[in-house]
Amino acid sequence: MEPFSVLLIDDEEELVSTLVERLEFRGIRAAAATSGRRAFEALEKQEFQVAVIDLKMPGLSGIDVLEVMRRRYPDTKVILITGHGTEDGSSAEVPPGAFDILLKPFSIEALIERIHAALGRQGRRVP
Amino acid sequence: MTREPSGGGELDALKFVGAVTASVSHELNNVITIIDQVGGLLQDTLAGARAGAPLDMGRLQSMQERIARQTRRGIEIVKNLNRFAHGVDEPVAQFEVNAAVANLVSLVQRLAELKKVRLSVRYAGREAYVTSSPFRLQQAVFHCLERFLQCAPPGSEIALAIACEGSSACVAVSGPALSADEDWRDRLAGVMQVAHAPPARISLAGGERTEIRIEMPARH
Repeated sequence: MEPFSVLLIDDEEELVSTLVERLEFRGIRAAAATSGRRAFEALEKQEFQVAVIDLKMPGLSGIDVLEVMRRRYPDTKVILITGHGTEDGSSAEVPPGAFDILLKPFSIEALIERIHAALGRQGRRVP
Repeated sequence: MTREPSGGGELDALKFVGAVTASVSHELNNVITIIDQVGGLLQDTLAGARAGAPLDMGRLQSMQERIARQTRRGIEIVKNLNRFAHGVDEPVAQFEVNAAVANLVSLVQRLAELKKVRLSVRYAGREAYVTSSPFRLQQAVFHCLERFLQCAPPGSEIALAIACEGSSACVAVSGPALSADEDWRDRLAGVMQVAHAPPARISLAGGERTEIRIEMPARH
């Protein structure tokens, strides 16, 4: 297993549970949370080096979760994911405090490449 | 080149279509993303099996169920979007009010969920046919929902109720007390001014909760 853990936060339960299985298949420890509140509960119990957060969630939005994480868990790198693209289909602007933003749908390789990049590890850039 | 819409009414209609399609495309994007990832997981599992790992039938079944569930969800979204799109086929048509409201709710429910606001709907116990524009009625109801959503705190409720009263059908939208200025009321009334259709009556009642009623002559 890789020496880091990833927390996936999205209200689409079937998305995060599937991503957890796919990351673990590739030797990456991962856990899922379906809301900001549940994410904070997970972060209280365990240290995560990377959090992957959906921007649009009921209640606490991805930006709300990001802001709390910047204060309470500053060492956890944050990658945002979103189904909202820009007019020309390019990536939206990365908010302060986040490492990167990925547009849905994305490949597992692209997600892993961003995770490695957030941790400062070398990896092949996947579009 | 971008062409500016000619009037406020047209711009409001475009904004309404934009809000609906943004919400629906976001939902569809989620559906496609899940199916794509479950398909990828299936590929991972088969690659593992080729490398000698035992095939877990329970996991395979769970993947198949996830794909089936999301496919059904996607089909439902597309059906509702298609119904919505056909609402502008005719400027004025005879349509069933409960179905038109149900169609709108299916498309914008997520906007309320994102704000953790409960959107409840009480349909009339019978069908109510009106002669007007289904698109304009949906736009008017959305205009009200949007206004309530701007001020509704998380945990609150916005209620939609459709009723058949005498020879009319009424769609009532109620939620936390709000101030509806004259400009906003005029825009709402403007939405329901449909040429060649019997006039609709719009009224607003305040109190602890605000209720906006849209009444149209109906055939039950």
